[in-house]
Formats: sequence, structure tokens, C-alpha cells
Amino acid sequence: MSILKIKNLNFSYNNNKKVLNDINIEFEKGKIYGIFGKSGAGKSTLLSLLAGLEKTKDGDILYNDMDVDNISREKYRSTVVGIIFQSYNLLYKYTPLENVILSMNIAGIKNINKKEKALELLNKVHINEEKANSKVLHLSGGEMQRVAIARALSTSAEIILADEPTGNLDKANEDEIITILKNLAHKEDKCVIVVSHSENVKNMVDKVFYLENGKILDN
Amino acid sequence: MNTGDFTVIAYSDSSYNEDFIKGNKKIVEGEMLSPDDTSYKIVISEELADENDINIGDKIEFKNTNDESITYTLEVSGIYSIENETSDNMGSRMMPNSTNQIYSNLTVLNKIIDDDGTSEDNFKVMQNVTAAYYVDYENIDKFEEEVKDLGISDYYKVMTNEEEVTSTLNPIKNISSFSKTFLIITFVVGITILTIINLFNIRERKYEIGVLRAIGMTKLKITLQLVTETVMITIISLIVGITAGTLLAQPVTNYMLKNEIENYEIEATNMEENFGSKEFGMMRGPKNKPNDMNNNISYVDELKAEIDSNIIITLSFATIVLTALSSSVAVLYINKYEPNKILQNRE
Repeated sequence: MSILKIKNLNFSYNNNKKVLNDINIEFEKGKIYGIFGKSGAGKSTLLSLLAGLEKTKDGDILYNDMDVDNISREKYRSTVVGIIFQSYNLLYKYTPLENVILSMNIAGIKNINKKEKALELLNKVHINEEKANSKVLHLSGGEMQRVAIARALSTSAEIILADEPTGNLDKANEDEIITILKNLAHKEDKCVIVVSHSENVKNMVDKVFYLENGKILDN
Repeated sequence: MNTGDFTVIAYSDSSYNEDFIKGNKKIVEGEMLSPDDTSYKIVISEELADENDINIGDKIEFKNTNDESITYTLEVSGIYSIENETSDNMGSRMMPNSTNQIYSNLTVLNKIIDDDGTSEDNFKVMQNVTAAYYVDYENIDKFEEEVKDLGISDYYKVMTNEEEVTSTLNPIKNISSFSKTFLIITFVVGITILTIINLFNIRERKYEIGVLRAIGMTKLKITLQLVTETVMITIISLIVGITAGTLLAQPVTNYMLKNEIENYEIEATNMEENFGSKEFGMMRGPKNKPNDMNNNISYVDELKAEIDSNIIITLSFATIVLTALSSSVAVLYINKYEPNKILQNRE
């Protein structure tokens, strides 16, 4: 059963040229999806709509058959989806541990030891306690992206959305990130959707969608 | 009064004597005659004294030019120098030469007028009729009205020494005026700076706001968090400010009051020097005032400065409200942007 559905989705910014044209896709839990295409094809716009960072104007996005527009966007972003950005978007004045705990606080998670849970998540993405307590700015790009993944997982979101998660990383780090994301789908039953240019990512995802001029080529 | 080669000047009130008040003329020997003086004494110019070898205490005999049988023997009690020539004392048809201007008192002047038998219209007469009444300060306005209602002629003018009474508070008034102006300027500049700083501060944190909103924090929570942070900083600043203000209020007030009084005293000393007598030292204030009202002024030289709880509460409330408002405006300005836009612009 699909957890996320896109139905007849059209989108344009300020009523100009269509960025997305009649998109229909279904995503299931336990799978990792890849959305590929040239720059300007509409990949990031599609991911922004799935993440609730943009509002749909024409067409629907359904989460468990519920229209996302009917859910508070803040609640949707803090509890339903976990977002991983290409440029990490961590809060640099905090430590990795604080970044993860802050995400839990925003999601309103209670009745658990947040520090313990955050350290466990950071450990899962290979960030040890020492690094977890150092400033984010002292981390490498690969480490920052792993912290971003831990933050996305901290709210127990069922859907993980990753926008070019390996775009700023070298090959070794890219492999590591892809493995983590793949495990999230296959071992933790998450629905992982990755937007990327990378051939390496393309080879490791369960299903590939190609976007060209706002349309899905292989639907 | 101008007669023959000399001009005889007398004042019923020393505050009319502008040449001496302004320092155009200055007593160099002896002293100026008091308006109350009734003796046959005069004050002459230094040049007149030098040319005729006249000293303090010498007696000079003057003849009435209209009737040379009438003479006046006047004793020199003071000699003045001319510091600045003004249009009034440089010489004219009525007042031929400032060095020939002789200062005396109303007794001498009236005697000359009486002997001359000429209409007063031919003379430059500056004379006041004084009748002093003591009225409560609160009833001054009422007193003036009552006197007018009683039918006093328009020839007479009712004057009060209200300004003299209130002049004892002049240093405090000046400080108060300065403080109020300073407070208004500080407030206006403070609000402007506070808003600009908040705007810059929030703009600096635009990325943080974008991230927080992207991961699901509500606009309200972000606004509350940032406003709370700013208000907390304001409260700390207030505590520091109020503590410093409480400690410094009295010394600063004392210092300002001391300076103000010193300025008044310097002016009084200048008067003493110009008129050559301490009697004129405290003569400041308005013209057209009866001479017996020119008493020594004792300025208020103690002012208790304290910051009471009402001031603290008002100040704190105003500051916190202004801070909250200015930071809210700044946060609302940033919150109008979608998180995606904030983060994309950064990337």
C-alpha cells in the first residue's frame, strides 16, 4: 500500500512556465526511490512539494490517502517527513547532539530520554559521542550530512526526503550515505525518496523516475 | 537729563542701566550709586576725571545752564571706564559725549528738574513709583487682577517679583529642561537604534529561522523564542542601567547643579565688577522691576536625585514593550518569507 501519492500534479511559480506537468506517482514504505533529470527539470520543486515546503496549486499530494494540504504544514514537516538537504542546513552554533534534540523538541517528542535517543541515532550514522558534542562547524561535509540524516530520523518520520544528499561529498562519503539511506528503507521500513544526479545513487535505488521538462518519462 | 555740556543720568532701578549690565562701562574706582541713594553724589568717566584731575571724594560744582545762579555741589563717589562705545553712548544731539555722562541718583536729578522749571517732556525721565505689597506666591495673578479692578491708572504698571522668586530655582529649571530634552532625544534615538539593531539581528538569523521553519517550527514559536531572547537581554540591560542610574543620579545631579550655580555666580561677579559694588552682584533678572525687589538671590543648591519604584516600573514597562514591539516587527518581516526561499537564497 502506498504511503504517499501524487495525483495530477501541476505546478508553476507565479503563473509562469509550468515546472511540473501532470505528475502521478505512488511511493511505498520499505523502498528507496530515485528522482533523476537534468538541472531545471523540476526535481527539487517536486521534492519541496512532497516536503510541504511549497504548497500545491493544481493536483494533490496524499499522505496515507489524506490530502497534505489538510494537515498543518508545520506538523507535516516536523513529524511525517524527515528532510535531508544538499547543503545540510544544520544550525552551526549548536552541536550535532543539540541539532538532533532540537528537531525532537520541535516535533513535540516526549517521554523518552532525548539525549540517549539522539546519541543512538548519531551513532547509527557513525558520529561518535565526542563528535556529537563538538561544534557542527568542526565536522567534515560527510559528517555534517550524516548528522542531517540523524536529524531527519529523530522524529521517527515514515518518509525521508533527500535533495542531492551526496552532491557535496566525495565518492567514499557518497557510498556511505547511500548505504545508510538504503538501510533506512530496507531495514527500517521507511519510504526514502532521493533527488540526485549521481549514477552511483541511480544504481542503488529500488525505482527510478526521470523528469524532463516537468514530466515523468518512466511512470 | 541733558543740560549744558553734561548728561546727568539717574535710574530708579539698576536693571535699566544697560551700559553697565552689558559691560560697556565699568567702575574702575569707587562704586556705582545705589538707586536708593539720596546723597549729592555722582559717578563720572575716567577721562573726565583724568582731564580735570578729579579723584574719589572730590566735590565738583555744577551750574544750571538755564539759571547760572543755581549751583550744585556734587561729590565724586565713583569713576567708570568706557569699555565699548555703543550707538547710545557715542554721542548724539541729546547725549553729546559719553565721557561727559554723569551718573547720579533720582534726588539730584529731580532737584535739577525742579530748579530748571522746564516741562518734564524736555527730559529723558526714567522713574518708577514704588509701592510694595507682600502677596502669597499663589495669589500673584489674583493680586494683579484685583489692583486693575480697583481702577489703577494706565500710567502705572503693576509689577511683581515673581521671576525673582522663581529665579532661585533657575539652576534646577535648567537641569530639568536639559534632562527632559535629553530624555526625549534618548528615547527617540533609542527606539530607532533598537529597531534597526533588531532588524539587523533578525536578518543575521534569517538562515536559522529558515532551518527552524523547514524542520517544522511554527512562526509563532519562532517569534516568541526570538522576542523572549531579546527581552531577556533587555531585562539584563535594564538591571545594569537602573543600577548605574541609581548610583550615578545623585553625583551627576550635584555636578550639574554646581555647574549651573557657578555659571550664575560668574555672571553675578561680572555685575559686581561692572558696577563696582557687591550690592549689584545679584542683580539679575527682568527689567521693569521696583528697586526694592532687588534682593540677594539665594539659589537652591541641593537637589535630591533618586530613582523611585514608579520610575523603575514605568521605564521597565516602556522599554520591554518597545523591545518586544521592535523585535516582533523584525521577526514578522522575516517570517513573511517561506523557508524554502530563505534556504535557497542562501545556497
